[in-house]
Amino acid sequence: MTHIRIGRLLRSSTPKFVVGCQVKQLDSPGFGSLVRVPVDDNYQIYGLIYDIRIEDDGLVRQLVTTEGIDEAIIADNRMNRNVPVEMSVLVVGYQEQQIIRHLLPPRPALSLDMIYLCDPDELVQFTSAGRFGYFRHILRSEDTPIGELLSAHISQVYQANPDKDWLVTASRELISLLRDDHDTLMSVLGALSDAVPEVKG
Amino acid sequence: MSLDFQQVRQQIQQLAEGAPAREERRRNLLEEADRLLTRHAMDLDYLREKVERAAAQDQYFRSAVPVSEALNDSFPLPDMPAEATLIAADGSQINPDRHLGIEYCLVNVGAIQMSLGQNNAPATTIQSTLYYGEELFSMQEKIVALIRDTREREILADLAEGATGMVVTFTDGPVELWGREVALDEEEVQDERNFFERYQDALSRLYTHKTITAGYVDRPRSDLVIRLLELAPDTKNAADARKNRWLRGILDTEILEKIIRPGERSAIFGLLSPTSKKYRSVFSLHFFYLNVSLIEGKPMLARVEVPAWVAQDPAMVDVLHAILVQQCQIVPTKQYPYLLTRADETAVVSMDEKEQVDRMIAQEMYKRGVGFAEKSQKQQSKEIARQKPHRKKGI
Repeated sequence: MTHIRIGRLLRSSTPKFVVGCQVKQLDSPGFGSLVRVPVDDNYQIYGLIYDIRIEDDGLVRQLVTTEGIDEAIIADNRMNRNVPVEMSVLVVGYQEQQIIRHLLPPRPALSLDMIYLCDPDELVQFTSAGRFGYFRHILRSEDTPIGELLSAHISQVYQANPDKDWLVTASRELISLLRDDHDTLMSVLGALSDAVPEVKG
Repeated sequence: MSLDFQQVRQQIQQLAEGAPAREERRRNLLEEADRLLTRHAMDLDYLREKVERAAAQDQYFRSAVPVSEALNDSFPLPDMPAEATLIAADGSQINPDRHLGIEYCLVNVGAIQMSLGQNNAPATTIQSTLYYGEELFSMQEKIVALIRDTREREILADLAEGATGMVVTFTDGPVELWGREVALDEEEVQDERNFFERYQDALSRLYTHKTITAGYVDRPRSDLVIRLLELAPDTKNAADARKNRWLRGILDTEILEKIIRPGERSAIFGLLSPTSKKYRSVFSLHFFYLNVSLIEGKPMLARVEVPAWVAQDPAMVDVLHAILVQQCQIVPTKQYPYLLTRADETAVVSMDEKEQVDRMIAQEMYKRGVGFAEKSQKQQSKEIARQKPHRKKGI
């Protein structure tokens, strides 16, 4: 199995953490991707990427206003310079002694811990453990595009494992969790049906 | 607050009171310098002879030396070469600090190499060297600077030798090693000699490889051409040239920026300095001014220092001229060679990195049971006083 490293942890708290990487490392992870941080051999934390931010610096700001930038200069700034990319991750669970729990982890990850992108098997393994407990973390997260994040996540799970039963159960769980919040429910279902047309069926 | 603004205010008033008279005097001197430049533009032999006389009388005399181009000549921007390898290098250092618990110094040299006409990202190279123990006994800051300059030139030679086709290398600052003429003690003299030999060896390798090499001086405040013009009047005696600085305060750029149009270069001058005798034959130093701005009415002059093997080859000068102006257009608001910005960024050692090195050394010392002195009381007090309040950073 190939483990795709996407960066190292910059800062963290129990419910969220931020990963820093270089622009050249930005090929594989995307909005909604499930990532994991192995803290030690028996303990790893899972999270969903909910924001990717590309920071600027003085030189990039100067180059932006330049007409006809040479391709080599663009490549230099992307490949060689330490212009940081920050990925914000919402913690959605952890694994301890081989057991995956959709709960907030007892301890946050530490600075400079390596973050890996979960492969399709790991994604299915995480989402099929328990009964969608991690949806709670997403739904109560502030400053997070909840509908978009859920639809991106569910779409990625469905691509990894086109299991219609799982899709239906997940949608029902969301409807149940959001039964008292009509606006959010509509927004989530709207985004979900755009991303996964099968959900309409 | 540590500044007594009351005292400063009085001095500012005195400064301002004298400003109009100083300005008037400067304007007159500048006009005189302009006149001399025009009048003596073609008197190359006459001026060269006067410079030689001045140098014979005073080993510390510095001046421009006419070569073959009229002093007030300017040369248009040549075409860019289709292909060339560009390499820029820069260096930084952590100087030895006796106030720290662990005494060491570190020289970090960074280089960046790109190929014209290719879209791939330039390659960066970093060489970090730690100096410690007995090596530090004679290591004054100026020796560290000399090591850094030598390492810069050596990394350029290493990379140039590995490149094919036309190679252009440049560093920030002059090619001439500066301020080395007065050494403190014998050991230091020997260190200087050793590193200067290595520096010359690197220059020699660049020459053998037919590399175009240069030192780029941004916003130069030199007055080498002005010193030459001070000798021009018949009434001025070359013997006391250094004492009789009657155009002092006027810079070369002030007279040349009226002549050198956007993208153009000045005439090439020889460089006479106390260290000239160390750079002989193909290594003798020359310079020209370059208007790296392409905007009429907004000149931005740089001084470009080159060894004779470049100065005496018009094709090499043209390539260097075109490439430096093009490099300065990559970030037009900066008008400074892009690769030098990147070489600096590659080489610079930040405070955080320095602290990290301190910690790494401390850790290794502890592991081996070797004790080391704590930071001096002075250093500790300074750090406490300068500590900024910690800001909390949200996720």
